[in-house]
Amino acid sequence: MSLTVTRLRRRLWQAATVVILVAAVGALRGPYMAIFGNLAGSPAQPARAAPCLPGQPVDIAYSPHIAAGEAASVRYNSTPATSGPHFAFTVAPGVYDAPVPEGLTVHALEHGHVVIRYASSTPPEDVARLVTIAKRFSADVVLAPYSGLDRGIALTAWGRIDLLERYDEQRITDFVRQLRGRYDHGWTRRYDCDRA
Amino acid sequence: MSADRQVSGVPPRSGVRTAAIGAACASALDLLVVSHDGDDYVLGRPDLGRYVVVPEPGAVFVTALRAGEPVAAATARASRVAGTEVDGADFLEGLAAAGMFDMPTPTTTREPASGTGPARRIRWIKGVSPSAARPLFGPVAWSGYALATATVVALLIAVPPLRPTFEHWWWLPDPVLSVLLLLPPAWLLAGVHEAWHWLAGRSIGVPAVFRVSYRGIFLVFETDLTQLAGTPRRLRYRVFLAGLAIDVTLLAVALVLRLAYRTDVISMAGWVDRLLAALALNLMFGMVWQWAALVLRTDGYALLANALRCHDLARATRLVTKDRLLGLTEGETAELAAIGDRDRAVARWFGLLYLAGLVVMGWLLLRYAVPFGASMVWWVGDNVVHPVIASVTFWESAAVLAVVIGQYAVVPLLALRERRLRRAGVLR
Repeated sequence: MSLTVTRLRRRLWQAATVVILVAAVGALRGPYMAIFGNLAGSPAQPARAAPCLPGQPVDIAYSPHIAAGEAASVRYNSTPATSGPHFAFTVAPGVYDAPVPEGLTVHALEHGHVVIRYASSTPPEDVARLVTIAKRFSADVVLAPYSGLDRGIALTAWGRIDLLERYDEQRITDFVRQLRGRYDHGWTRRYDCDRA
Repeated sequence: MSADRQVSGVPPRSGVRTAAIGAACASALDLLVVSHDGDDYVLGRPDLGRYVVVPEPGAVFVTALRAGEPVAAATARASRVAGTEVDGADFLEGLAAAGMFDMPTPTTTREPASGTGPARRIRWIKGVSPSAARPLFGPVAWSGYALATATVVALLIAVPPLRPTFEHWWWLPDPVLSVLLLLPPAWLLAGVHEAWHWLAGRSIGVPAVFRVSYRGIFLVFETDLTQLAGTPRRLRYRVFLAGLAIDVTLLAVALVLRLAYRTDVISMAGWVDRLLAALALNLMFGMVWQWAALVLRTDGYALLANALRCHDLARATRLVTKDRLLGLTEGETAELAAIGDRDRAVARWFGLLYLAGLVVMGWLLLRYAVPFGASMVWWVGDNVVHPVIASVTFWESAAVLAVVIGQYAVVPLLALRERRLRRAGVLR
């Protein structure tokens, strides 16, 4: 028996390999579209109303990547920011003891995370409760103190904000549950509320 | 981990000749090891890292010579096993041509000279006795590794938030610090992985060597297990699996700690939880890579080649695949013909595993490595293009850029230096 294949068989193998590679490239479309989105940032858009969702909508600002040196000159359209220029890298979800730069938290929002920030005057027992919530939603929440708040707690998602005077577990967990993953370099749901 | 070296057959031929063994050949015989490997036998020179596969009469012939019998008596013994007359002297010539009687020299011995050569190699631990290493690979230990595997699978399925994403590479708000501070524990994990291969080798008495070395600025761990080719296949599984076994155990520990933190069973700082997530990502990436990158002769490849009773599956698969897609040269056709039937038969479908592995490798890179790498390149470039000289970020970015550029710039500089030394007659 010949060790090598015939010309016809070689053509068939070549065709099969091309088909498999094209299918593989198609199957990997998700990851490389995410990479392009990650590099390109997000375009400006009017606020997405969604009255059924917690918090208030905020206009989405043009959101390119910026260098650390450019961050000082950026003005966001809300405090804390819910969109806008941000750094090229992001932060892992989790509990942070020190303030996290706005350029990082905005990128975390762009990846569909919810950022919870609290004023330095927040009582330690409330901070401990916030930590418990952040641990419960450990893949979705970034929790950090914030110097831009005089008092209370700020909940932010991409193009969405809710400011709390004091700790309110129900309101916080509703915000996290309903707004996590709503945006990830693009809206992930066509409709936020019932079409009716 | 070093994979099996290529082995090839040197069958005895018909026709009896008596010949005296030379002095060098006789002393090299003492260094030959003979081991059983399925239907074949492996003759090895562990000191040189050379192994050849021979049929049973060849092994009988060498064993008889090693026992002190003359060539004629050894040939007669081999002929009885073969059922036909074999040519012992011709067989010896074949072994000599395969380098099995070469005398060890400082350049051919597997033992490196410490402090010399292009990459200084450091012997880490002189040796561990097999009895000391054996408990790590006994029934109790393997039950533990199996439990760890079940724990990892159960946790990753039942608790999705524990699944790491590429964001976990940035476990600190400073990306450069995230990478720099992750390197020492990542090196430690890589060292433990290699050390476990080495310990598994030691547990079955293989004189394996574990070294800590470096290539350029990169720390390298090396486990030389070429002498494993002289051991029965069933004993090799533990050596090939050992690295993955300790990886999955460490991954289970990291995930259980994260789960305990999440459920308030233990308390720890937020950065420790994020570091554990980064290490879990590092371990998971490495473990999937070991099974996907079969084409790079990973642990997964070594396990499969051993289970499929192949000797040079990688080369056979490469040649069979090249034949199917592009065709072979005359030399490659002859090389394929010289590879054993078993390897050629397995290679016919093993190429599809290679292809599936390549798709998984592509997915891994696109899902975890490229988003991280592209963001880091963008960040570093942006900070150098828009410099704030007084900021730490600028100097971090400049340092990263210098190291990366330095890696590539040093190559032409070294090439120029080598050419100069070659012209001066210092290098040949």
